[in-house]
Amino acid sequence: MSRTAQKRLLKELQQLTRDPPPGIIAAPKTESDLFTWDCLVAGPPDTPYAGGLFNCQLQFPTDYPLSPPTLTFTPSILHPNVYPNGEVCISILHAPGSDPNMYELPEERWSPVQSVEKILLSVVSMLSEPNVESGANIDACILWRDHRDDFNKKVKRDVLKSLGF
Amino acid sequence: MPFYQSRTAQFVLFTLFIYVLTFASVYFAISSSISFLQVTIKLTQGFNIIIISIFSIINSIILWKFSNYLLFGELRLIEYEHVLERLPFTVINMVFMSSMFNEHDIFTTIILSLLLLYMKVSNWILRDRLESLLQTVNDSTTIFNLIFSTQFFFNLILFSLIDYLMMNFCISNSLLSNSNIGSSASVYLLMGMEFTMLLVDLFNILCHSILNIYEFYKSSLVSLDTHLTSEDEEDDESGFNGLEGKFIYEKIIDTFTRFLKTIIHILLLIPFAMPVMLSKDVVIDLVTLSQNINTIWKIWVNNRKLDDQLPTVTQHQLDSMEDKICIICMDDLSINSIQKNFEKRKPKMLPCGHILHMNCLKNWMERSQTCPMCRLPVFNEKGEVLPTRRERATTPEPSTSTSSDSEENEEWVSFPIETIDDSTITFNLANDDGRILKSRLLINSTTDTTQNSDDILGLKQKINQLQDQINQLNKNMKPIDEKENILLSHTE
Repeated sequence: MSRTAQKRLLKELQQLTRDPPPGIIAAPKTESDLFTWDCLVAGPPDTPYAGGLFNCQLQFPTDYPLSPPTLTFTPSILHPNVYPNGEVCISILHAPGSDPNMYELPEERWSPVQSVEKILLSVVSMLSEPNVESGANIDACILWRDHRDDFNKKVKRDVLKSLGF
Repeated sequence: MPFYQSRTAQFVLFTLFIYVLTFASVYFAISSSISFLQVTIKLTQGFNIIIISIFSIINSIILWKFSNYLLFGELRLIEYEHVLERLPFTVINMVFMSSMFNEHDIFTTIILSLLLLYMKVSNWILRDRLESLLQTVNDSTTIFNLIFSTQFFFNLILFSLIDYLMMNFCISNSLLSNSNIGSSASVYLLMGMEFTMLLVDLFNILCHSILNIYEFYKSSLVSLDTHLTSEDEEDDESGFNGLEGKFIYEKIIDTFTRFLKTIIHILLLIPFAMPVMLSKDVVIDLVTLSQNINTIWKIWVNNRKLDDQLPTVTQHQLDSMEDKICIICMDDLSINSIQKNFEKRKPKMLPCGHILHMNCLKNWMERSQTCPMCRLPVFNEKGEVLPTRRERATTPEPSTSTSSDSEENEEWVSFPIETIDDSTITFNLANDDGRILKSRLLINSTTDTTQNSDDILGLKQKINQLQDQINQLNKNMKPIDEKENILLSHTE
């Protein structure tokens, strides 16, 4: 049953509230449902995402931490590794069995050592260093590689949108 | 946002527009013709047919939304996404399939495909609902309101009933028409098979829910038990931690349903000479089936060996660890054999030296046969547990100190490496005289292999320099030795 998952999620929540990592806020959406978390990720400085506060949702499976959660930006942001529907495509969020892109090393995949904090930290590092080799949003990949100015301009718009302008 | 820009408003306006157009076209068709036949001919010509088909599409969408709302209530985001993800492929597949049929079957095909599509979408949603049903479980849920308070099981029964009726209808029709005309037999047969597949899928969902309910039932039994026996004690530690091997059971259910599907495919393929299109499915089914059975068998066999072959951690070893928590459940590791459920919470050491609870380890091993921390495999190709690193380090290795001509760089590779702990590696090496040089390599993180190899290269260069110095010193020693010999002979 989901009790192991609930217990572990509670522990992670305690740890996150005890010493929160900089630039990250995460908590369950409602008290009754521990399996959906709302997170706020601050765009890392010295990147086009700087200054933005991006809202994303973590959806945990019932057998967490044995299976990875899914992370979705709501609303979606322009980034080479974020699908147009907002879903984040990073290798640590893929279960050890499945390989959607066929070139991820097994040691980069999901394992129970990962936690909410580590996932969000790797999202921050994903924001600062996009991986265009295994892109999720092809248009964003092309923009990032060939028309960096356009990319930065569009991201700035996302940043303003995330702040409510 | 202005009213006319929102999606719902656009949809409503469009629907109204189409309704008006439809009524207008029907009205003009009726008013300008004398017989019913003429009306139908007029309605199936030119613009009218487009208007009427859009009208029917919009109506089926509305009907679909309404019945979805009745059966499922508000759809969750993830359910929407799943539906939108799978819908295009399914629709294209259906269009392909219907392209094989005769023209005069078009109405049966369209109606049956629409119904099939609806049932498929409902199946996907139902599957997602099972997960959300399990997520809402908390301490106050009883097995009774798990089964009866939600619509899940009602939906399940309803859908299986519809699927069963449709399957019956299609297959009996196909048998009937097979005997006299044989025209629409293939339509009915194919549709009947699709509905059978859906029925098998529903059976799969049913098995999953039964498995979960059984687990829930057991967990409620256990928690009742602990409440009765130890009321003052925190039952946090001894709580039920999930059905053992649940993942395996789930895999077995999935494999079994796949097996059923393959059998049905083959059974229909052989006697009725089904189109070649389906043989692709059968081949894919067979391949994945054999793969699944293989992995399940491997996991099953390996997991039985875990308890015997992995060493239980001793108190001493546990004390030397920095933080004594199991990384999977984030609970403490302890060796307290009086504790309840000790068998399941026994700390076990993997070949790489990492320590986990027995049960957590088992659950993880069903998914991946590697250490969750360092990804070192637990079993080798033959399915034997690898020797632990500490054991390997102490086993006598072929000594290289005898090799006298170790000047060549190739020799460096074979130097014995002794692991002190995760962060340092000691190289034992011997020069010409048999003296042992020890050098220690500090590694920042075990994953950063590129840096490690750089470090090792640097170390090798240093060792080379040392070797050269030693040679130089030996050379310098020679004249001194000779002099010493001369002196010695003189003193004699």
